[in-house]
Amino acid sequence: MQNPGIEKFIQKDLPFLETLNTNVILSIGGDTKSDYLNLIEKLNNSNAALFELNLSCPNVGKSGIPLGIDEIAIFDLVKETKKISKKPIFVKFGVETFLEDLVSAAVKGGADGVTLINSPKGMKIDIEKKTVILKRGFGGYSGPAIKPIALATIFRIRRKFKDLPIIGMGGVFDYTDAIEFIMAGANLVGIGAGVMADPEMPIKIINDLNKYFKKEKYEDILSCAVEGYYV
Amino acid sequence: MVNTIVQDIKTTENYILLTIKTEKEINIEPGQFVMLKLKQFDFGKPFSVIYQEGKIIKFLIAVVGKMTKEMKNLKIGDSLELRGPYGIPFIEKLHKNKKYVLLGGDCGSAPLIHFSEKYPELVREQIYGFVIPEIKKILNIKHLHIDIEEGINPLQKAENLNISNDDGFLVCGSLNFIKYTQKKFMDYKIFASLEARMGCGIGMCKGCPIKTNDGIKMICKDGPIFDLSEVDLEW
Ligand code: FES
Repeated sequence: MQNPGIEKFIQKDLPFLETLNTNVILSIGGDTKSDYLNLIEKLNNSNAALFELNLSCPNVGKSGIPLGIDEIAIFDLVKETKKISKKPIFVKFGVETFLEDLVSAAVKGGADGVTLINSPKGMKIDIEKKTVILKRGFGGYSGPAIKPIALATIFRIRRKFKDLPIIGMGGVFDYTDAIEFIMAGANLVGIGAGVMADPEMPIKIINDLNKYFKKEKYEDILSCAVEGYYV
Repeated sequence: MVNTIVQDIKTTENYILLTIKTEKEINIEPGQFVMLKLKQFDFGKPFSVIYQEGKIIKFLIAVVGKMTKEMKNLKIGDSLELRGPYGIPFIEKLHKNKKYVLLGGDCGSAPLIHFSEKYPELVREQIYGFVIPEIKKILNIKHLHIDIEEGINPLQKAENLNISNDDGFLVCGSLNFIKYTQKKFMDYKIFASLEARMGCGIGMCKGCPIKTNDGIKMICKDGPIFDLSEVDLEW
């Protein structure tokens, strides 16, 4: 997502993030492999818990294929970033046709886990004004509408990669959504649009989950998911 | 997120004058906005305030979309979620040594009316323009201008005001209204409150961009008040 760039981030936001008593994930994106390597070098000594490589950039590399769907480029990028990174590397993917192959390439390159899903593209047209609503025509489509797609994607990948750590996200708005994501196979659950709708939403979800797990056992919802993998 | 209760609601076909009471007291500076959300919606929408005192807040709302249509059906005692206030208010952007002509187009008049009550010493003239008289059924204030009654639009009226070269303009309304103001009063300092479709209201979703002399900014976070000489309204 557009932001003021790495120098300002290191100066302004990172010091604040480092005061927080939680695990911070730094999600990085770039146009080229050297962008990613450069960012990791600059952030390697922060106290973040892990790096997430966001591959959603539509720019096309040497192969003529966008980075996010180019198996060879993904393998290479993960391998190179792993060489220099002092932290685990996760790779964030969107909804792609041959996602299993792309995840495979990331895992072979040494990825420690994946984040699913990046928001698919969506658009809205104002038929009265006869114009698109967003400046660029389309943008990331997120929120509850993409939850079923996110769940299916996580489920698909979990079925193939039994032990791969997965951060699941896409339309989590309450604790029941979070439970569905865990059941589909996510190890961690992320909230994106939900925080934009209500910045306090994560607190509410955590409180509700704590209540839920007073009655239910975490192992039970996991095993429900595990059984689901093989139906 | 603050819970609020509807205290009063007046509606016409196209407008709502909504009064709510917040659980706790918040201070909203004129020009700032809040995000209001109905329970049945996932996302809230931005609304600027026409009046605020303690826990009481009033909104003047044009019925234009799904959520505002639903808002028409609110009843006294219903609850609404509010978060904010967000955005940079007029008073932090404008030059305090000037006096301002307040030019409102339709419900864009709301933040200006709020401003005129809080900072009367900074106000030179006020015109709150609506096309048809319908608004009078729910809004009873001075300086209302009804196009079809006067036969001219608010900007034509503004031309005949007695203003000095040193005065500035505060304008809020449709994009065309703002552009037209800019064209007509080129030689004056103009601060506009810009509208945008907003997702988050806090600079996260990047859904409300505007091109400025200093690069792309977000209307919700860096505005909604902008000095018109700094933004590209044609972008
Ligand atoms: S509304 Fe989300 S960035 Fe402005």
